[in-house]
Amino acid sequence: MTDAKIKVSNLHKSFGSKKVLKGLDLEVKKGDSLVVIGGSGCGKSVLLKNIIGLISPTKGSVLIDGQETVKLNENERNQLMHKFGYLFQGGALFDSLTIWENIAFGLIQAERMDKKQAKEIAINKLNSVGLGSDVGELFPDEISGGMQKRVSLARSIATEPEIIFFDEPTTGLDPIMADVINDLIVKCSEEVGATTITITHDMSSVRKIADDVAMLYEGRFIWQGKKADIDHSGSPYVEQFIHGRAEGPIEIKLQDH
Amino acid sequence: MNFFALLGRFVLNFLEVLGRVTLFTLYAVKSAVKPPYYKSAVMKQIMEIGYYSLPVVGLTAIFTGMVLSLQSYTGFSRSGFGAEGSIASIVVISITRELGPVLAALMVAGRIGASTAAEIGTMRVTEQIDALVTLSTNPFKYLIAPRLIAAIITLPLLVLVSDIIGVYGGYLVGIHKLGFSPNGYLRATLESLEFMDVMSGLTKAAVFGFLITLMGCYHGFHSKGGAQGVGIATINAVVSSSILILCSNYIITQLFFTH
Repeated sequence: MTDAKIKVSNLHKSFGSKKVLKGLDLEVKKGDSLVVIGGSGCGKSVLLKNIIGLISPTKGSVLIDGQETVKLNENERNQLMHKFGYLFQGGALFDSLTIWENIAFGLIQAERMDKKQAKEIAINKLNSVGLGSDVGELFPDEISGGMQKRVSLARSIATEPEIIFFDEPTTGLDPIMADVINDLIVKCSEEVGATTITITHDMSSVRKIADDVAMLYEGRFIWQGKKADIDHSGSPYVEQFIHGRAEGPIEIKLQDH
Repeated sequence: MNFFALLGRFVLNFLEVLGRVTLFTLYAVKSAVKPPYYKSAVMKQIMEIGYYSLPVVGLTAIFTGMVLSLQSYTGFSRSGFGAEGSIASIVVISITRELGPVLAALMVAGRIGASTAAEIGTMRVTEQIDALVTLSTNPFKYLIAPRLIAAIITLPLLVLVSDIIGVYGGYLVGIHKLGFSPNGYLRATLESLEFMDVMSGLTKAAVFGFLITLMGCYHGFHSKGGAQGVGIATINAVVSSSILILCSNYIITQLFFTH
C-alpha cells in the first residue's frame, strides 16, 4: 500500500486528433505541495481537471487515497468531490449569489449545513483571507479582481478539503497582490492540512508555495524534483523557463502574417 | 469536395447532434423527476418565466384577438355570411387552440430561451459550471431541472391568461368598432367554446415550455469559447425552440383533433 494521496499513472488525454497529455506519471504524498510549471497551453489545467474528474482521461489511472477514480459513477464521484477544493483561474464565483453565499455554497449544498451556521463559517473564512465581514453582502461584480481571487480561495477552503487545486492563482494580479495570495495559499493550506497541487507560470509562486516542482512540456513531465533543486536542475528546459528566455530548447511558434 | 463525402459528413454531424440532444434530454428529465428538488430555484424560475413574461404575452394576445376580429369581419362581409356569431366563434377557437399557445410560446422563447442560454452559457465559459461540480452539486439538478419544472407548470397558466386576454381583444373590436351587441357576442363565444379547445392549448403550452427551456439549457450548457460562443448559443436556442414549437404544434393538433 502506497502512502500517496494522489497517484497518476500513464495518463493520456486527447481532444480529437490533438494529444494534450501523453502518458503522465505523478505522485503527491499526504500534506505535500506540488507545483506544476509549464508554458501556456501545455495541458496544466487539463491535468488538474482529469485528476478531479471534470474531464475523463483517454487512458490511464488516477488513484485518490489508493482508490481508482477514473470510472466512478455519479454518486461515487459526488462523494469523492467532498475531498476536493478548487480555486479556478478566473475565480468562477457565482455572480447571482452574494460573496458569503458563494463561500458557504459547498457547506449548504453538499454538507447540508443550516444557513446561519454556514454564514458564520463563511464570514470567518472571509476574515482569514483578509476581507471584512461587510464584503460578504456584496456581489462578485462589486469587488476587485484581487478580492475575487481571495473570495475564491476562501470558497475553496470553506469545507476544509483534504486536497486543494490552485489553477494559476496569481494570474492577472499585480506583484504585491500576487504575493498576498501566495502567502494566503500557504497559510490556508497549512491550517486545513491539505495536500495541494498548484499550476502556475509565476516563479515567485513556485518559490513560495512548493515542496516539489514538476515541469510539463509537450504532454509529459520533463523534470520533477524538490524546490531547492530547481535552480540547478540540469535541464535546459527548466533553465529556459525559470529565467524566462526566448531562446532555448522550448520553441514558441510564431505565425507569419 | 466530393458530393457523397459532403452528404456523409452532414448525416454524421446530424446524427451526432441528435444523439447528444437525446442523451441531454433523458438526463435532464431524470434530474427533474428524481429528488432532491431545489424548491427556491423552482420558485425563482416560476417568477422569471411566468410573472415577468405576463406583460409581453398579454400585449401579444390582446392585439392578436383584436386583429383577428377585424380581419374575420372583412372576410365575412365579402362572402356575405352573418358576421357576429361567426366572428366570436373564430376568435375564441383560434385563440384557445392555436394562437394563444403558439404566440405566447414564441414570445417566451425569445425572452426565456435567450436568457437561459446566455446565463448558462456564461456560467460554462467562466467555469462556474465546473465550480458547481467541484462543490459536489450536480449542475443538471441545480440549473436545469428547476427551469424545466417551472416552465412546464408556468406556460399553461400563462397561456390561460393569454387566452382570456386574446378573447377580450376580439370582444373589444367586435363591440366598439364593429357594433355587435355585447350579450350576443359573449353568448356566441361561450356556445362555440369546448373544453377540448382549452385543454389542447394548455397541453401544447406545457410541451412548448419544456422545449423552450430544454433548448436554452442545452445550447447554453454546450457553448464554447467566450462572448461569441455565448452569442451563438443564444441564437441557436431561440431558433431551435421556435422551430420545435411550430413542429410540435402540428403534431399535437393532429393527435387531438384528427380521428
